[in-house]
Amino acid sequence: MSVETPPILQVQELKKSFAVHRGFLQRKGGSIQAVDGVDLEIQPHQTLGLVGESGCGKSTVARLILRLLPPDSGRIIFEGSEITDLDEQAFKPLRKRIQMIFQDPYSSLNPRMTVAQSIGEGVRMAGIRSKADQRRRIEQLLDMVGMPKASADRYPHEFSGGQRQRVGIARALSVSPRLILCDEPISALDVSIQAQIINLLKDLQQELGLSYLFISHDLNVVSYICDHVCVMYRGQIMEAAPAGALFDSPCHPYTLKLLAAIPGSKTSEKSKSLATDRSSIAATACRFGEQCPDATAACQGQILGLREVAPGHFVRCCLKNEALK
Amino acid sequence: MKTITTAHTPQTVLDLDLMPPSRSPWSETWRLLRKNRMAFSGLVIFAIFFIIAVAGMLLTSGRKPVLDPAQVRLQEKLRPPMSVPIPETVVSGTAPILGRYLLGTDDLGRDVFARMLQGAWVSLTVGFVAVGISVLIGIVLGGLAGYFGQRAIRVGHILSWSLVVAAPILALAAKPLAALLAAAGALAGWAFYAWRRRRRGEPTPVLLRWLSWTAIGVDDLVMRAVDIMLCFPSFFLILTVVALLPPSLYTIMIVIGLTSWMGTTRLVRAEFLSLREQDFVAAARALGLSDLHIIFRHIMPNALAPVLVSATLGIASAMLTEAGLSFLGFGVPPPHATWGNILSDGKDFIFDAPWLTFAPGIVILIVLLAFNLFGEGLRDILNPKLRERN
Amino acid sequence: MASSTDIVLKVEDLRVQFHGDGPVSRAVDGVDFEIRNGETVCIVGESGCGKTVTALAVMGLLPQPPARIAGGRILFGGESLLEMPSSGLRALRGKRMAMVFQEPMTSLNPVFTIGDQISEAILVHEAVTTADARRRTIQLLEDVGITDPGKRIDDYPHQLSGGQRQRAMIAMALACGPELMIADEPTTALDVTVQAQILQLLKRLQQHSRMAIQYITHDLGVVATIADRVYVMYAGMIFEQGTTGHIFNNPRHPYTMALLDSLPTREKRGQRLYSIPGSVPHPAYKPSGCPFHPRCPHRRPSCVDAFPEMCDYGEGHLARCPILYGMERDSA
Repeated sequence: MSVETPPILQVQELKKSFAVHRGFLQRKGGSIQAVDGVDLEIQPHQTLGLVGESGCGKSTVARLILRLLPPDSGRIIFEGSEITDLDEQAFKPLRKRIQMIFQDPYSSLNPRMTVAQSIGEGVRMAGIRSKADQRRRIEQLLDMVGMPKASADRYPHEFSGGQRQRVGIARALSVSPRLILCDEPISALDVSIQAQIINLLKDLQQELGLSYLFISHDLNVVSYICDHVCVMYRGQIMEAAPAGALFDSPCHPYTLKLLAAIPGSKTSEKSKSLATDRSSIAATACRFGEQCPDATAACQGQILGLREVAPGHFVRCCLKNEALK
Repeated sequence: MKTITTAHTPQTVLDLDLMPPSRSPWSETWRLLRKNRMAFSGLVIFAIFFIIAVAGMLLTSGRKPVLDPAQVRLQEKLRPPMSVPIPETVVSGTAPILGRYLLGTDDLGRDVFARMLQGAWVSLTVGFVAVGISVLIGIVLGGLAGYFGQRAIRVGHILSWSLVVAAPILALAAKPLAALLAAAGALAGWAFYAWRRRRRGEPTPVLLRWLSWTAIGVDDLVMRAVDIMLCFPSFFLILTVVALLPPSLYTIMIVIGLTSWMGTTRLVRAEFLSLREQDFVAAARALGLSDLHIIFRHIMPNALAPVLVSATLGIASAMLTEAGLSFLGFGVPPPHATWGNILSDGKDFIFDAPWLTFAPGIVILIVLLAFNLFGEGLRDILNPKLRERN
Repeated sequence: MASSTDIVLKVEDLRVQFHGDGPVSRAVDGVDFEIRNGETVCIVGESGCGKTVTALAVMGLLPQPPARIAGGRILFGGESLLEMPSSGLRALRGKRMAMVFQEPMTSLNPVFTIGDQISEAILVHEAVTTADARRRTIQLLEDVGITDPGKRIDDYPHQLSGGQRQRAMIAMALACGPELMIADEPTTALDVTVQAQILQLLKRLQQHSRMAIQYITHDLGVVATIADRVYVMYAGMIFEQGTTGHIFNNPRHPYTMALLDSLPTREKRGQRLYSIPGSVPHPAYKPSGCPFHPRCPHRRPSCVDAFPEMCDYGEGHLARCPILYGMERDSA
């Protein structure tokens, strides 16, 4: 990737596993490797798309970056300084620089607080002391997200999903962040509302110089809004590339499968059927091996790392490694 | 402080004129309550009961009460309700205030109406104080288990805390050397944790590693305590405790409170567990708000609804427990009247003076029914599934 | 034009209201549509537009009260469903028409094996032995693409993945060879790759039987993949109807146009997306006249009062916008 300006966020070899609890007396269950060595880089004023299906660990990545969950290992570097090992006290000022927008606008606002109270918490955290200033700032934030000032004293249940999502965005903006993690911000919204929120996010990015990590399962939206895209599968990045390169010349079989699955796409008619003898493939190191239509016996025993197939275009597939040689 | 703003003209996203008038969650609850007839009548009966109980306390207490529940008139014993005292036999100044025994008199000629009034206050305070105690314990323990449940209590924690407790006890027992040793041990434990906190990520020396072994999780500790408490047949536990302690109104309240917190604890824990996974809690943590702020501002107000329901039902059951204890003679000691001991006294005269049994019996029935109706109604009203999500 | 005997389901001027506290919600407000043999018809609309309520009304599964069918007719194979006694409706449901729901986890009973649940559907409606029903269940599971159906038949719902559960639901719907299958957002809860497989499966199944599918969705991409004909719903009404080609290549209603314009795609990169202002009206607080007028870019003063009539563009392509129809006619 081009290194003209330092990235606003770098994530290196991030790992997180969850223990599977099995009750009181058998506490030693297995564990699930939710995030398994993820590397990300977000450039200032840009949008990085993180694409994958449910359970692939993409939301966990966001929660690890925000330190809502402690990582097992790996490094998170924000604006040039490492934040992985900071304790809560030292991390607190940095919290205001990274914010998050959630998927479900129904659960992301406290039902017992008015809009003004919800946003007001952030405004107070931003250091605005006087009540009148706080109120002015709340109204300014509502205005920024296209909500009328009078909505400040209403409760979340009085608004539709799109309006609540705007309030959620206003709350995230209240501490003047540099980076916003958007966890499927539009997938729970009505079709006619999605474009409003996408436009709002793009406007805010342009005017405030924000950077986004845009987590989504919808490749159409990602192709529209993102500058770089990472495709995730079962805790690992399978392919990472600038948006143009990823959609023009996708390399990884999983990316191809995702693209073919977009409803309405020309390629969705035929998906490759799996090869008949798959006994050898099950033993490969590749996470995608069992599902991969291209997998061959050659995949067995290969060490899988991300390889650069074109400038800025990384793929984790042993078949592509072969092709390079 | 630099704040960010934008210049773009936003499009209007809603017309507030088209929206129904704004309602807070509590005013919405009140509106739904008014529509639910059963619950509302329960609330009305409860309000009347509350007023009577407070009035009764004022009227029957003091040096010269308006209605004296302890006034014995042996000539007037077992008079039926609404009867007029016989002027020849009544000592002047002891006649009932309204000129009639509204609910009759008992075997000592005491005015049952006055005794019922005094008993109402007892029932009310027992119900509220006992439930207050149990809800307080329930919220604290349930909140701890629900919010900090994943944290572990380590061998070192237990050791340090037992040393901290042991030190003053040993000092009181006049064993200065042992007390000093215990205090030193506790200090060493504190130093160990301070050192661990500063050197995060570094391995602990092998010799000290056993201090970091997990003894039990916070959640496990609290929930096993609940399980153990639930194993006791609580009425007999109360009987035992009350038999051992000096009988008084306060003992009863505290004992009932201390033996009925388990249900609330489970409820609060379950609510906390589900609420702490909600996105608005994650958002609050992302803003950098403190744990205490999150617990009291974000989680607690949303967890209170089911607690309120169980508390309402709990008041009814605490009143019933008190009446049962008093009936068995383990409750509030005479001559103080409670509904339970009026009932108990009356059982010997059930054929001669049925009002002695029926007056407290029917009142207990009505008040408990009102509480249960109100509690059930509240449960329906506060059920989020019934709320419209528009 | 197909003959009337081809028509499996015909809904005429269906009106459903919800009576709760507050004003009456007119969830479905005069809906007409028809589905013919062997055809996939998509009902597309946003949440609260009445698409699911319509489907439930057809199945006779609306909870009444609070719902009330305030008017209209539902004709299934020529019989009027609204006048049919509930016993007749029960015999019809599951045998001649079946429904697949959105959430495959909650629509299967967790305490019975999927085999039990599918063969139960057969045993209720047909006089067959348990062994026969089991044999047919295995066949059905194979038809819907579940590998190793002989073993899977004894699995409980939680042992299957989301996609497999939805396949099992489809097998259950297919159990008695229905003439009509109503699928209510069957792939919304699934991953995109699984969604693609389920859509392929539905297409394949339809080629084998002459089953009609009423597919309810909010996803225009899915519509483009699977539909023969499309009904676009908004605020309890059909706004536009036509073949998939009509709707996607030549939309005639401002709402349909706006929906298509507001879809983010790669081609629109760098441009500003068209976004429909405002939000979906609450069924109890619908705007007067054309319910879309507050959000419509082609709004005229007359739209505020005048109820829009359906305008015929020929070949079964109809749209409920007299303004655009008039402009079209003037320019022609």
